[in-house]
Amino acid sequence: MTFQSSITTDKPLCDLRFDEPWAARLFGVTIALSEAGAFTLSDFQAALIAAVTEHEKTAPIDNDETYYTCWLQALSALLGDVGLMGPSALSASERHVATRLLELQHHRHEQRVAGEARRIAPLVVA
Amino acid sequence: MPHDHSDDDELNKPWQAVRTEAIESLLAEIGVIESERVDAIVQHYEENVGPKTGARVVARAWSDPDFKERLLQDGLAACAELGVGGPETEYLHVVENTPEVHNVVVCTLCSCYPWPVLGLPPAWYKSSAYRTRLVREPRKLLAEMGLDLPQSVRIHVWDSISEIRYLVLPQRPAGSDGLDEAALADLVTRDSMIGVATLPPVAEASA
Repeated sequence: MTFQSSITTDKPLCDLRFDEPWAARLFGVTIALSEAGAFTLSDFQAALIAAVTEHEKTAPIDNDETYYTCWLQALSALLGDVGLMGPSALSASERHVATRLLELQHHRHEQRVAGEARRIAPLVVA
Repeated sequence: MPHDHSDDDELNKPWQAVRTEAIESLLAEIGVIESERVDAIVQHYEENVGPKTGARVVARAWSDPDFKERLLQDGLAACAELGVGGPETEYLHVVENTPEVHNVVVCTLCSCYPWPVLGLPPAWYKSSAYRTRLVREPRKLLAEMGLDLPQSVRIHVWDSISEIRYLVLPQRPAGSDGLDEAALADLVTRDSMIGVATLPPVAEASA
């Protein structure tokens, strides 16, 4: 397999967006943290190198999702190292987000059921 | 909501999205960061910063020999003259392509990239394949990426390690003599400033 067939090259000059919304947030949060003095970008770079090295022991980085997943692991570890957010605080916050998402899902489902009940039509016509 | 996406996307988030949101919301809650600032940073990098900035620097260097000399001496200081800069680069080293030497940039350890002049790095720049093969077999990899360099041209591979970031100053395309700086900037591509491409001659008709 040649390099070109494995990876898409050049995009138009103005088309520089993050593929995933979470990658954009992750990038922004990291820069905001360095601006706030939580750590320096060199600290982050060291954490990123460690995460990339760890990942590449088992699999290559061949897309943005994998790359930003390494970034996320680097940031999670660094937040623990600087004492801002340990693993337990992070899991608690993750559960909070997941619960909120579930509630939202549940709410949507109920809305849909209610909407369906109002629709006066046979469920099956055989 | 900073990004537009559908309700279904919102509900079926990958774990990375959940964790990122968990980090952001907790840090915002304890007052370390503000979500508005995160919005502004993302928007800045997606919309304001990009390779067009680097293209402006290159076009100035082609048009103004004194500027070019200053740029090769101290990349950041020269970029600052054009109002270009950023927080994340401590040293920007500009390497000039010549008929004898072709320069190309990589970051072997992660993905260091001259953000203030080129914006966000493309996916392939961060890939394991690019980062390992450019070191091991640069001529072959460049050929696969569409850049067939004659054997007589020496290839210099620059590793963006530590605080030094590199920018390639491509050779000015043949046939671009009469063009002004803005028109020259339009000729410059991102890939030529990373060094995985050169710039084709300017066709008579478009000059």
